Amino acid sequence: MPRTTALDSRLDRSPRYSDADLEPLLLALTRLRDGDFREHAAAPAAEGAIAAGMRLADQIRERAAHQNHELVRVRKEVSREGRIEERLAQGPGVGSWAASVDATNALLDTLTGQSTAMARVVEAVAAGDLSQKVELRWGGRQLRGELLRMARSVNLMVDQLDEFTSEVTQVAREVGIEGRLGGQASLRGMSGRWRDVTSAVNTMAGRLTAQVRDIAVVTTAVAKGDLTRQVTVEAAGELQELKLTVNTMVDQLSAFADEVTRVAREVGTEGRLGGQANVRGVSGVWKDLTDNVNNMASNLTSQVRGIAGVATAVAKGDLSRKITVDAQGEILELKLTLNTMVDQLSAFADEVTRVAREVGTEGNLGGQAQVRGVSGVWKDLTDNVNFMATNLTYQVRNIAQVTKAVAYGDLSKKITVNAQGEILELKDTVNTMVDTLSAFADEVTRVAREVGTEGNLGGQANVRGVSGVWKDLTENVNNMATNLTGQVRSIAQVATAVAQGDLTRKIDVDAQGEILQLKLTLNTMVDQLSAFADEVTRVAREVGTEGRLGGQAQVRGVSGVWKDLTENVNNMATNLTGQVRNIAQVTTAVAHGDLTRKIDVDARGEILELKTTINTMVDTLSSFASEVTRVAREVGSEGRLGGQAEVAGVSGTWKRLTESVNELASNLTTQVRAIAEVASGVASGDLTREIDVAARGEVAELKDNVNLMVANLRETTRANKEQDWLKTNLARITGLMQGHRDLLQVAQLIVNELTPTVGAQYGALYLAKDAELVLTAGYGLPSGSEGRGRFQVGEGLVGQVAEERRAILVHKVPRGYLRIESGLGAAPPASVIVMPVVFETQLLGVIELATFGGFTDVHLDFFEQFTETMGVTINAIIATTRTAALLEESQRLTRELQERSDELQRQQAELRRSNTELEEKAALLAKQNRAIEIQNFEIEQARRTLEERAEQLAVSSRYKSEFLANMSHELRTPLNSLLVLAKLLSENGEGNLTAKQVEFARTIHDSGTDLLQLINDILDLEKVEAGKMDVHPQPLELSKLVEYVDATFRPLAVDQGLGFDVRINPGTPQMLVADEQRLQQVLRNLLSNAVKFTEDGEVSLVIEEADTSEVASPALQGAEALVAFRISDTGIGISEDKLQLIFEAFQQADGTTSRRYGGTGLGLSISRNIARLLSGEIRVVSRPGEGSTFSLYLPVEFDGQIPEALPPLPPAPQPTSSAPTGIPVLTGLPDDEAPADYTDVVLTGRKVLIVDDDVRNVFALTSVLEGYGMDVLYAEDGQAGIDVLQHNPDVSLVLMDVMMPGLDGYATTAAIREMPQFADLPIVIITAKVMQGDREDSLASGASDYVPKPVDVDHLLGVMRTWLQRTEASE
Amino acid sequence: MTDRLNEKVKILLVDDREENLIALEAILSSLDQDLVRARSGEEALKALLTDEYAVILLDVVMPGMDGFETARDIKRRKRTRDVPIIFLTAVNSDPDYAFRGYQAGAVDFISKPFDPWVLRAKVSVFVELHNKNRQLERQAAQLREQAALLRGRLGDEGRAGR
Repeated sequence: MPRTTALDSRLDRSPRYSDADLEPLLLALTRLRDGDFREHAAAPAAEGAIAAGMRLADQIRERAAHQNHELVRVRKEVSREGRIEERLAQGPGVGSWAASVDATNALLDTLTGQSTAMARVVEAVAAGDLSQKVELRWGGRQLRGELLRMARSVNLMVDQLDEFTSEVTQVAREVGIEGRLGGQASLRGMSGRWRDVTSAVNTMAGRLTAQVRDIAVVTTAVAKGDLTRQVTVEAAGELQELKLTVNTMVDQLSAFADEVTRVAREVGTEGRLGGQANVRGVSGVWKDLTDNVNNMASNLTSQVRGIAGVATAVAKGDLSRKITVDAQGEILELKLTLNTMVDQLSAFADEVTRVAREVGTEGNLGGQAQVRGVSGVWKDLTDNVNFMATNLTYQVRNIAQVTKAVAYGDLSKKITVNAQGEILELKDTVNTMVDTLSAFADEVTRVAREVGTEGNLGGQANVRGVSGVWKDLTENVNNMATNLTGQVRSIAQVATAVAQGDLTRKIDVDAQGEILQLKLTLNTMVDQLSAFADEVTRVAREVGTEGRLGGQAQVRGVSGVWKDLTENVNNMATNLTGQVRNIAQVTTAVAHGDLTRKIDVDARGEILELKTTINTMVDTLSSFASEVTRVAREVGSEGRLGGQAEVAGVSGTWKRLTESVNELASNLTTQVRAIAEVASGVASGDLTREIDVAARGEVAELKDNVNLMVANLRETTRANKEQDWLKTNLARITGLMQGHRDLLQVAQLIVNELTPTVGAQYGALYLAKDAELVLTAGYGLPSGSEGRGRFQVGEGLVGQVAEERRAILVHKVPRGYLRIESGLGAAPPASVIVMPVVFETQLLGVIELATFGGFTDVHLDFFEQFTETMGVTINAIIATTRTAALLEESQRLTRELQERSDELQRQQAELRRSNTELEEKAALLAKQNRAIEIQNFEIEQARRTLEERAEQLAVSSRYKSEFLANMSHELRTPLNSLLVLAKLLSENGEGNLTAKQVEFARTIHDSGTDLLQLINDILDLEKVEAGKMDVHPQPLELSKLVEYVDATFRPLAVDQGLGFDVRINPGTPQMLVADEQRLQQVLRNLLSNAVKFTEDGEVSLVIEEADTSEVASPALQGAEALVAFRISDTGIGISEDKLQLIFEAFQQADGTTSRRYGGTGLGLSISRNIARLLSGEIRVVSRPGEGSTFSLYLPVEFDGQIPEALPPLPPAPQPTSSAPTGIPVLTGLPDDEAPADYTDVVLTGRKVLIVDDDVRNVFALTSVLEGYGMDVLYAEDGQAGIDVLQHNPDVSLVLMDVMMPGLDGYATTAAIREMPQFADLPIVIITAKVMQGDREDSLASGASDYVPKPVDVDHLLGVMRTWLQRTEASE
Repeated sequence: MTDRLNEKVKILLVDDREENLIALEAILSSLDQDLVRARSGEEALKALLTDEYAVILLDVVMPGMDGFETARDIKRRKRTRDVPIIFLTAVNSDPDYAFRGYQAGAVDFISKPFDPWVLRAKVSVFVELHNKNRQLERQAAQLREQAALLRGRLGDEGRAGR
């Protein structure tokens, strides 16, 4: 009590109070010390310090009591009532009292705050909020100690709870909300109970999944209306209840459904309104439901009856009624709808009525209903009606075709259209009718043929299996046949009588109708026959008896055979008349001497005899005449005199006649022979003879004429002789003149020859020379005395002749004019002639001749002709002379030319020689060239051979590679499914496999993976060997490589109890340029080998710089720096003789079947090849039993050049792109780009059907056509095509392939064409066949056009446009 | 969700080997979509002529028409051009194949044996995408309809106002 002490010090220290005085104070203090804070009765009043002490003690008590009370209260509040926010109230005390209360409150705050925070978190957890955490700081300070642990625990709990709930929630969401049953919560990070709980949740989810799926199946079945299913899955507890409930529900539902179905059937199907559902044993909602159903049924009943009234009215065709019954909700809607429906129905009915009227009444097939503004079922209905109309149209047309055929009597056609229901019945009926009709017709035909054609009366039609009208018909026919038979027989009797000539009989049988007519007709016939007989009798009498030819029977009112008969009689009369008249004509002709005529009229009997007699007579006459004619001809025409006519068998007049003819012939012979004698004389040149036989008449004339002729002949012969002379001399002298060139010689020759020829004794020839005539030649010319050498033109007779160019003849030349002298004497000539010699108009000369005798006419003629010839000759000679001069000149010139030419030739020869030399040199060159060419060719051939070999090698290598690649692919493919399925199994997704089975599945998967690795190895090896492995060099840090190796192999080595060491020796370059993947692969191979073959000890990889002396490869030796990767082990080692072998593919040091280590032995082979690819090499040092060291040397700088690499193969064709088979589907299509969108006026929006079994072709065509906005349908074969077409009548065009299985293109086209509605549908045939007849075949099958494969798209589009436009136009 | 359940999408599986198809179906059956088999490129084209597909899983190596050819044909047709194709092949080691596959228009190229989970995930992405596309189409159609309706109403009002 320090305060008390302090108080005491201020007080009076002197003891004033007794112990008794202090007693209450001590008591109070004792109470205070003992914790008794109760208020006690006030002690007797004291005073002074005692009182003050008492007051203080009491105040202390009060404060302690308050504090105590507060503590007790707070404890009670906190512990009993849980109000932890309760705090101590500040008492009256100050200082430590207050501090103590504050401390207590602070402590409480800390504790409750923490627990409140935890409580908040827990509350949040309780409220499902797992995001809240306990703050790890309190009052700005980090929590410590137990509180921190608690807070962390709570937070951990919240986290786990969170994770758990999220897992579970996810599962629950998947299972519960999203319905993805089968989801499982992940157990990751869970432990303890949470793990258990999660597992439990998973189990629950699994079980729930199974149960829910089962229940779902059942409920789905229920939902789908299948009430037979029951939940069968095993379940317990509530689910079991649920299951039972569901099953019960299904049962009740079933019962309920049955009942409701019954009611519904009664009400709905059977129309028994008023029915009530009666479900026993249900309660609760089912009962309500049943009641409701019943209620509904009754309500519905009344409403439905209201609606039914309307509907009945509608059904009866009364569309004016409307529903007026009160209704609500859906029924109201129904009512409105029904009313609307009635309206629409009305419109629809009108339209349908119209169509029906058009189609049904007016027969306008093909009409289509058009109801606007309807949708849904009405639209469908309208469509259906239209469809029905179309179908009906088609069917009716087909039936019409058949019935038309029946009407035209063609009973072979049948209805083939597809139909159903009544139409089908109709179709069957019509077909049956056609059959029946056919049978009936056959039978009736048979009866008709028997009765009508074959005359078998009494035949009866026997049609089996007919009834009704057909039976009646058959009986009628039979009846008719019987009646006809009776009547016909009666008629036959009369006809027989008529046939026997009895025309008195008449038919008296009872008959009606046509038969009556026949009877009357027959009777009439008998009458007419009578009349006819009379008339014929008359004509016969007139013609036959009275000889009045030309008479004609005239039977009036007859027709048919009677008319024919009458005409026959008349014909006969006419014939007879004709015959008689013909005979008369012939006899008349004979009478007129015409023996060529014969009777040619057809005749028979007696008339024939008469005709024959007359014709025989004519023949006899004819033969006589011909004999006489022959004699006359022999004698007269052929000159065979002495011929005698011999007519045998004639007598009388004819004999006499013959004798006269013979006499005449002998007379003629005598005369003619006399004439012949004279003629013979004349013929042998004797013209002196004359005919002197006596003759008369014409023969005398002949004689005179012959004599005259002989005289004439004589005269003519003389004239001829003169002419002969003239011509002869002319020719002779002319001949002499020819060949002479000299004019003088010719002139002399002329004078010499001419003068004696004409008997002249003097001759002179003057030739014209300038304007003068000069004597050039003479004959018997006196020497100089008489005659002059020259004359001017116009001078003397010679000159006169020259001027006139006319000859002058002088007779009786006076004496002394001229003398012709000879050695014996001289005398003047009697005649002189002077003649000009002229060529054309040019005077050439004059010739003068003189004779003693005189010149006859012949001589004058001769002169005239000769002077002409002479003119020609002389002129020719003159011309020749001139020509000769010219020739000489020309020859001179030619000679000169010749000389020059010689000179030229000489020069040319020289040139030619030098030319030849050049040519020889050129030939030599050519020869050398040829030799070089041959060598080149040989080289080329050798090169080509080499190339071929190389190619063959490449091909075979490629085949091998491809084979292996394919093989490994083929091996992989089955492995794929194996691996996938094994993986799936090993995951045990459904949780229904045992651990053992999962283990098996895992083993399968692992083995498969190993196998896959092996196949990959083979493929790798193959790729390296084929040069197909690509190398991608890149800078590479060695440290990274070491990390990789360490991470990969250390665990393996440690597993096997081996030491493992990887290090880089100092001085090794840090970077390397190589292909990282490949390098890793090699190191992997080497290291795994090392680990595999080492039992104990260690495996190490040392990377260091290497010296070029260690390597063998020249490329590597030339490298600037080398890196060696040395893999050493302490394993079994390899003996010397196996060191090379291990690098061969599929080889191991121990390759026996009992070998210890597995593996394929591919690793080293691949490694060595890859090392080579990387410009490196692998070397090995090994001792059996001690270990091996494999060293991989690589250049630091890899330049990508592969040493000794196999030559890369020419790029092999991709194995998948097998040789294209068949015909390219489309040409003209850009290969890598689909056609852009086009809109085409004609094509866009049209529907086209492609019928083709080649789906690629279809796809390509579809792509193109859809590009043009067309709607493409597709059918795989002909039948499918027809079906598609029937369901899509709006197809505008069909593209049809020819070659299809089943119905081919032609058959399909033909089948489509048979359907009337597709008669005009454009069908374009597409075929790969390019035969000549294809087009014809296509068009014959009914196709519109023809497009050959491969299809040229532009062409096809053009064709399609054409046809679509055509149909558009026709529409 | 019911919407999606009702509308299963179609996935076309093209492989010439029965067992691969079984494996694919085993992997993809949990997606609960319509899996349609095709045993050849031709069958695939035929299926594409009639139905719409969310994604095509196409084997590369098939006799006759191989996967590349099939893909080229599919890409050539406008209607099927945008259907995603995932190539599946066992020949994984030839980089040329992947190149050709992508060139042929593949969205992905998976080599066998493939991880079922990966394949399932990839396929489900395309299924989702397809559903989204369909949803978009539907919405676009609705929008168009509404736009047309509004235009019509505007036109009516315009006429009435006049």
